[in-house]
Amino acid sequence: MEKIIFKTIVRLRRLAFFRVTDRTLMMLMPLAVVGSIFQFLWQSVFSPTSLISNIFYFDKWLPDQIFNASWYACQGVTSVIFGTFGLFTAYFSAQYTARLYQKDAQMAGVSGMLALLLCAYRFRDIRDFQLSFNWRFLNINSFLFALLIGFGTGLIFRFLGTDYHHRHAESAQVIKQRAFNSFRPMLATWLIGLVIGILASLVHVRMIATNFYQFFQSQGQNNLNLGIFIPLLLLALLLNWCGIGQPLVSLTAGGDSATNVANLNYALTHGSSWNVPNPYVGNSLYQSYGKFGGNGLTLVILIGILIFIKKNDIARVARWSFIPTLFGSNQGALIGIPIILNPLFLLPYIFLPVVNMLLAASMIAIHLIPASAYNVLSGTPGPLYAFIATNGNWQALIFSMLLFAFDILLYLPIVKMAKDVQDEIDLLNDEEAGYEYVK
Amino acid sequence: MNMLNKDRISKNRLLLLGTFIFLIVLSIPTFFWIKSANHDLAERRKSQMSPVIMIPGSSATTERFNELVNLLNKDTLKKHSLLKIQVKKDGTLKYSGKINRNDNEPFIVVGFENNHDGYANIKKQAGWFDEAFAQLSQQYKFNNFKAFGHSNGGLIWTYWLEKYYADYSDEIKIKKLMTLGTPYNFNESNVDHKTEMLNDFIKNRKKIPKNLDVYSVSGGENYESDGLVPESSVAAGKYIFQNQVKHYTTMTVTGSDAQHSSLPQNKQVVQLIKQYLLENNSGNNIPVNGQKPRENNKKK
Repeated sequence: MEKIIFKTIVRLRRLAFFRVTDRTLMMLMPLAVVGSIFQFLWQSVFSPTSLISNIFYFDKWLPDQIFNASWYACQGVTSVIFGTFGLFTAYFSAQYTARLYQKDAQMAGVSGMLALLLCAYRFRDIRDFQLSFNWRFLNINSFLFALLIGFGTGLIFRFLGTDYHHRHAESAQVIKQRAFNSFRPMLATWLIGLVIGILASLVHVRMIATNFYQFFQSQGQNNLNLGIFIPLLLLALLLNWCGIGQPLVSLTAGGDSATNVANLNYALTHGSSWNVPNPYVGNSLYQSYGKFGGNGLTLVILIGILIFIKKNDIARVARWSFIPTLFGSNQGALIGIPIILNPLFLLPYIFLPVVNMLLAASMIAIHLIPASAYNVLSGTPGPLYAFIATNGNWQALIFSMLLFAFDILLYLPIVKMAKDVQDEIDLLNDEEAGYEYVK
Repeated sequence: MNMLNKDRISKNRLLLLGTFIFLIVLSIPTFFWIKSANHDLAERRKSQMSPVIMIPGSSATTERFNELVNLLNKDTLKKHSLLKIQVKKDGTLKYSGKINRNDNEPFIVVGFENNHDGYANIKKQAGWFDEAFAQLSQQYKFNNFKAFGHSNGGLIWTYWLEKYYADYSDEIKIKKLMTLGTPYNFNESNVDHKTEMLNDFIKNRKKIPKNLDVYSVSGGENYESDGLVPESSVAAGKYIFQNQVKHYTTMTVTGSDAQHSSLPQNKQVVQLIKQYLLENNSGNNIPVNGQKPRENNKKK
């Protein structure tokens, strides 16, 4: 059984698309890690509503100017990195696809980037003739979109481009040749990008996408009970694993719904959250027991890696993205490990949070732990969330620790296999590199 | 290579161990912080108190409303207590009077050491008022209140609502605002000449809460003014409140004591305050059909 899974995964990862994805993710890792560190600083340290700034009473001793300046700086770095993430994704994805088929990779990368911009351009929104883009398509939450455009660009270069091998030193003559050779595939790319872009403008893809996201948002705000929440959550987690993050963000954002307010009011007037009117609110169960820092139990994967993998670059990435993930900023881990589009992590990433939530719901049902009803500040470390949301209930803390340990145990074999797969693929790549041109 | 491995292992373990200790250390202050925050929140939810907070006009002191409160307390069994707070120029508060323990609807007057006129001063006074409000809300933990402002007091209220109220709006609800002879356009009688202050108020009107009831009462000594403030300046309040708050009602009282400075002692005004600003809950203490207590019993 294990062997079959291992072989299937390795075979999957050897497919052109996954090979390109792997390389793209690898190159993007530093961006994502730095971005997530700044996001952590922004949302969990220098935000006036965050746990850290509250329990250390930043408002009492840290001058406003310093606090605000730090907030703006961290917010700016995060927004710029994650807001333009698609551009680099498209660039690297096109580049590595072209390189895989021995075409001009740099030209492909530039074409891919431009194709993405054409797709995201608002053709019908030309007030004052300023450039206007659908920034949502360039955001890290639309990662898959940019990746596919880059991949498509690479494929166009594969079929229309001339063969080219990168060299260490190029003469002016060679460069000229490259430029002329790239006309055909570049034009084809842009033409297709243009058609997609205009079609997208015509059929209001933006509206459709907005409606799609808003569906998740309004569902999230309704704060559904488990039965309706879980199917939506599964879909959102699947999309998140594919690199479309917005639905999950929208679904799990709402906290001020009528049901939550009723729960909080009950808890406040009765001094505890044992018998709140709505004990099985989907989102509050997800926040308390389905996350533990980072969507899809990212933190658990990182701990598994840190325990199990000793000498590997994966362990380094895990260390760097550990603290941000603990506070909920997990993009560094998603891109760097990678977890996104990594077939091995698909099932646990989607289903384990739901298993956790169901276990917690049954514990609530048999009155071993109270429901999570109290307000929780942003930037609360994942494993402490349930403890705080129950106003410091010890049973809830002990249960979340046990659940956390249980998740780590479940993840260990998967992490072990992830390491073996990675070793195998590195080996195969090295073999290839031995007889190919500069890659 | 082996040495390197060992080094890496310990780095991983170190991070895990460090995080574990960090979490434990963090959870201790968090525990106490969260307990006290939730305790605060609970007290506020339970609080039955709904004070009437009053701000006098320029040149007036915290004693300005003494007679008004006497008149309001005259024919009623439920006496309202009166707390007076003077905010000094440096933001410190001087208390006089007190709130009786069982009084759910006390009057709180907030006056200022610097009680001069002018837009620049009104901004300052709104800041001082905010100091007082922050302390009051901390101390008495009320979750709703009613606002009353005479003359420039109404301007301070408006400025405070637009600039400061958002800090409290999650936890404290302003139910009603009554302004009395408030010159929203200062002494300008032509509405086409909007003062800087009125323009600012109109610009930021969206910040005024939508569920607020606003009553603007003006005095009519003659057909144009209450002897000091032009009627059209009072009426300019509609550009701020109308179509923003739930109800915006204007009323004009005439006859004796309709002069600007006499308004707070005007019998009609006292009636209006009783009728519109205060809670008309004479039957509140006597449950009508006993439904409420039973519901409470069930929960217990």
